[in-house]
Amino acid sequence: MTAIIRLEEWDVHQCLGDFDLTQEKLVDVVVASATAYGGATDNDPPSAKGWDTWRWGVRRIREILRPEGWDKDDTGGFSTVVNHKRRIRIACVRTDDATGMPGERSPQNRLPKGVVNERATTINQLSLPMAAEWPRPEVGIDEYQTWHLCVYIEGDVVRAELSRFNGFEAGHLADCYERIILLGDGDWDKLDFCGLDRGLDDLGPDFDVDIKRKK
Amino acid sequence: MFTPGRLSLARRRRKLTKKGLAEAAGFDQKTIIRYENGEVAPPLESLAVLARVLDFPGDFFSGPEIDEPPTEAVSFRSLKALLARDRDAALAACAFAFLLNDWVSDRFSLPAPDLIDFKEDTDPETAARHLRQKWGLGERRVRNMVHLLEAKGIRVFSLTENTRALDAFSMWRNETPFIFLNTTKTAERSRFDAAHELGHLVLHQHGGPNGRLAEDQANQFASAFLMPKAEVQARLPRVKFLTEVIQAKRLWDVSASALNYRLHKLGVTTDWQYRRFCIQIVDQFGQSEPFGISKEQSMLWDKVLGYLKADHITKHKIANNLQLPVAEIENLLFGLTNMQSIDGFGIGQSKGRAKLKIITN
Repeated sequence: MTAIIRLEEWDVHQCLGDFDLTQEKLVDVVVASATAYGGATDNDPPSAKGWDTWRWGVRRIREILRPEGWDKDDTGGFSTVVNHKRRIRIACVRTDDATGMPGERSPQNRLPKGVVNERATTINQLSLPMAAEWPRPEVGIDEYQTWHLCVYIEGDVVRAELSRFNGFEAGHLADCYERIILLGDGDWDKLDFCGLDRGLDDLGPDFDVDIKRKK
Repeated sequence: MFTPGRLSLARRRRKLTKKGLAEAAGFDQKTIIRYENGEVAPPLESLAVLARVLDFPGDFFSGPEIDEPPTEAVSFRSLKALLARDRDAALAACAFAFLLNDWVSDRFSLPAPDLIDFKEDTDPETAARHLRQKWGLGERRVRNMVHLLEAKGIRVFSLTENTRALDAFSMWRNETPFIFLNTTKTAERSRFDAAHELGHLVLHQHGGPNGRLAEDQANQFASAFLMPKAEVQARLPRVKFLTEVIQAKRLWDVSASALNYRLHKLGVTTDWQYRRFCIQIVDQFGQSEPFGISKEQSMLWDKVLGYLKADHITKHKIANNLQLPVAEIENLLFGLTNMQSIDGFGIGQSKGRAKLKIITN
């Protein structure tokens, strides 16, 4: 199945608006993940980068969205934020280099995910044609749409998207129903994180060095 | 007529001991000692050998005495880490800078010093604020530290010493302030070094504290001068991520480390954040500087060399006039200006004789 890809600024803005979200809020979460990723040292265990990226992403998205009425949910170790009004939940996941690239390949998580994540993702299939005839998962998780905030970080390259997956294969997210590109190729380098670019035009006064020939 | 002090100066500039020079020239060490003490003048053949070994023009050794800076008048950043031979070589370069400055001052009217002589107990933060006010900077960014220093009467020269322990140093010579910058460092580092030395010039003109305390004060001054407190607090009332520091450093053209330190000192970041950011900066960027800026160049030397070029005066002519190797002139202006701007003749020759070494980190 070919995913719907939201790439244009107006489209992204509109889709996220439907969830009471903005691109800035989600990019803020990506920034937290990317910063944490860079904080791992050579003395940390090899998994520290991935763990920190995920952990700080989850923390940040909760810091941002809980004051706005979202709830946190850790059912079965599947850490998400939930918007009951919009009936959606968002999970953070570190994904591969397909992230943020509007090609045919969809992002894949780097580590296999657990049963609850699989269950939540499967629920997304309920909105597909003929879905009513499919077997229902057994784990008790409310039937909200689950979106994944997919973050790809490798060195200085950071890309991100909010994606709704169709399926799960061997613990890996598979095929997207919809992808909202938050940070495409090269966008990270152009970010003005905190409006700090304002004022860069003011270079400050230059001083002339007054020199005259002596006669 | 032979000038003993010049032989000693040339030897120290080449980082040679008397013994080392004696061995290189094939002389007895006592002979070198006697030459330098002025007990006896070297015969012409010996002088030619010394000139060749030291790579100085023969005429250099017969000029008048050269005004050398006393070691105690110079603010060296990390004197303990600095080898004596590196320090002496830098001081010798400093003596050549005096020569060059005097030569230029004879031909041009240069800006007079316009600094504040702060009292010994002045808080560096206050000093930086007052100097900014005097110079009409307010809270604005310093666009170009070298231009600013030159416009305010400070003579800026380059250091090309191949040592990590020597970032910059400064001194007063009579009423003229001098700053020597290691122009092989990053541009951000050079800006901070320049502000640090400015701190020494205004805070420690008449002595004051020495060693670590003086260096800490100069660092505080530099930090406050480049990143004014009110503006930093207004732009960064709180910081959560290193990326914000990296973005914001461009507002003041400072290094990420310098801004991280400043934010911590101003209480914007916690101890934990400061340490975390320190680690992240090293991990992510190593010795390089994110969003690195271009190196600052001299306006004074651009103008002076422009005038000289119009008069067909090349760096070789200046060097001949001062009886110095061309490479010494190049060293003093390295990175501050494009020397080829006055090198109408003999570029190839000068390239062959220059002994510059670029330090790559």
